[in-house]
Amino acid sequence: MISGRIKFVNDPARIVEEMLDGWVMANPDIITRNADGHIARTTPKAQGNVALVIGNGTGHEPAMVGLIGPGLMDVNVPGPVFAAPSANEIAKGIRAADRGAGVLLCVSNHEGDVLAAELAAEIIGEVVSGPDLKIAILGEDVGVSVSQRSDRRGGAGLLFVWKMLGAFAERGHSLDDCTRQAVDIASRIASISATLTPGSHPISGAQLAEIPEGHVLIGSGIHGEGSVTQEFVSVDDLVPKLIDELLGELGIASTRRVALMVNNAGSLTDMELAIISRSAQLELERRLVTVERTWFGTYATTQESAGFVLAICDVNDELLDLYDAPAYGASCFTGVAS
Amino acid sequence: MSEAGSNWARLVNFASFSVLEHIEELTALDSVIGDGDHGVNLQVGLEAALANLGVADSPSAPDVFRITGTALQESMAGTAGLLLGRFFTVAGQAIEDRFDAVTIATVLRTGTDEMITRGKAQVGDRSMIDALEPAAQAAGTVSAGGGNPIEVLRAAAEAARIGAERTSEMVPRVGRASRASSEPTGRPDAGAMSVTLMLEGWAEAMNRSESDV
Repeated sequence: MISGRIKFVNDPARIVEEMLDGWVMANPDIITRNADGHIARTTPKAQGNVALVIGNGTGHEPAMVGLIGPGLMDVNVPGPVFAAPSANEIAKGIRAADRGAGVLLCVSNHEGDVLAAELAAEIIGEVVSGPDLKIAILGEDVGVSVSQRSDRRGGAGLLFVWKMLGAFAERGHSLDDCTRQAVDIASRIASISATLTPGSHPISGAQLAEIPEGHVLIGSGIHGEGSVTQEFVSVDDLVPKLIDELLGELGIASTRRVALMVNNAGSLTDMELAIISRSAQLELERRLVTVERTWFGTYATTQESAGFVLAICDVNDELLDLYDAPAYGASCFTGVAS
Repeated sequence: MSEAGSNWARLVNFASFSVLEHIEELTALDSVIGDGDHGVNLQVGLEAALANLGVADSPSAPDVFRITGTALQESMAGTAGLLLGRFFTVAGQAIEDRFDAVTIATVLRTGTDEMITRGKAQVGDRSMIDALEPAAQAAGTVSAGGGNPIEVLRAAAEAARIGAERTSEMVPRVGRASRASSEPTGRPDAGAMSVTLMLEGWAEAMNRSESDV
């Protein structure tokens, strides 16, 4: 086993607890730990609105703890590092989140998360007068599902869902409409990652991939797995190839409009992100695709991975309006609100 | 604790000993294409189960399975914890308060079936199923042939070991590993090995006298 870098932690068994405490202590106006220890909005949304819940493995911060708040999601059920929370915990999160209009459980498509969601739904189904529940299984990562498009994994590109769906639910739409919207937005996203140096597991210390020096790992998922590498020449050599994959996946004609995201997977500098973002934007413009919005920053990470996730979302006026709606997260969108 | 409950709790204890004894091996196996945390997570789950069994009020055999399944699901979490939790939970619903050859075979059969249904893995996909399915079949055969609990557990552990070793040559087709590697690693699957170690712990429990825990 190759060991990753030494990390600034205390007791490895308390990493998740101390991390969550740190987030809520720094952002008491936005998030709190509810009676179950989950992350919830400090001020819950108004009664009669659909609540959005997500359970996920930790280690990807600011996702999802930084994406709970007004205009975003309602309750985050955090699991162990890179591992889904238990079905019981998710069921508790669903019950706590309900504001009388039902709960949409959003699932980033990974085996453990899907299994935990299915089991949680069974628990809720056994509760007399439990909340109405829908499950949306969401994936957009083209890199780790090349052979089966219908089964794309969830990755950093789902940020588009969290932001737009959050705004949509805030407007009082029904549970059925929120579910349809979540699945529709996810189907409009494609993302792919590129990594120069892998991150490491904060408890076991194991490196999450092996990448030969001078090579870039393409299409590893949010957990850093993957085995397709190529020689790294330059950003302007690499990014157009990735854009090609994404446009091919979405089948976007040159007249379409997109939103672009460059996500820092852990330890890239803002300087690198800007250079990558520039390259992506120029390549899209060269292909006559209109880039309506661009985000670059740290939204979902794989520990200290020196990599990025490039994502595009096929947008229309309705989605851009949701994209631009006010939102307040502990990390993301702190400056987006108008 | 009922006598059957006490016997089953003792088996959970020996499963935990067996995993703990081989924890470094499991960590190394899981580091080949995983996070390297499988063995440690499993040990945390089993210790939580033992702690809960220790404070339970006279648990019957079904109680022992329910308590163990819940603890694995809650404390271990992740895909492996959820699947192992279901194994124990559903096996516990299928048995009476007994500890005999037929009950052992029923546990392995129903637990494995539940895991196949939930995890969608088949034999040959390089997963826990590659050890559990042959173990369940061997236990069923020996039990149907009139074998006693010791013989059933030995047959299950031996079949699991053979199945787990075969995973060395398998391409992972389920779970995160399937996206991490497209060729055999030459090393057994960590999950197949961990359930083998647990079954070997069960067999070992039968070799020891009651006084050895």
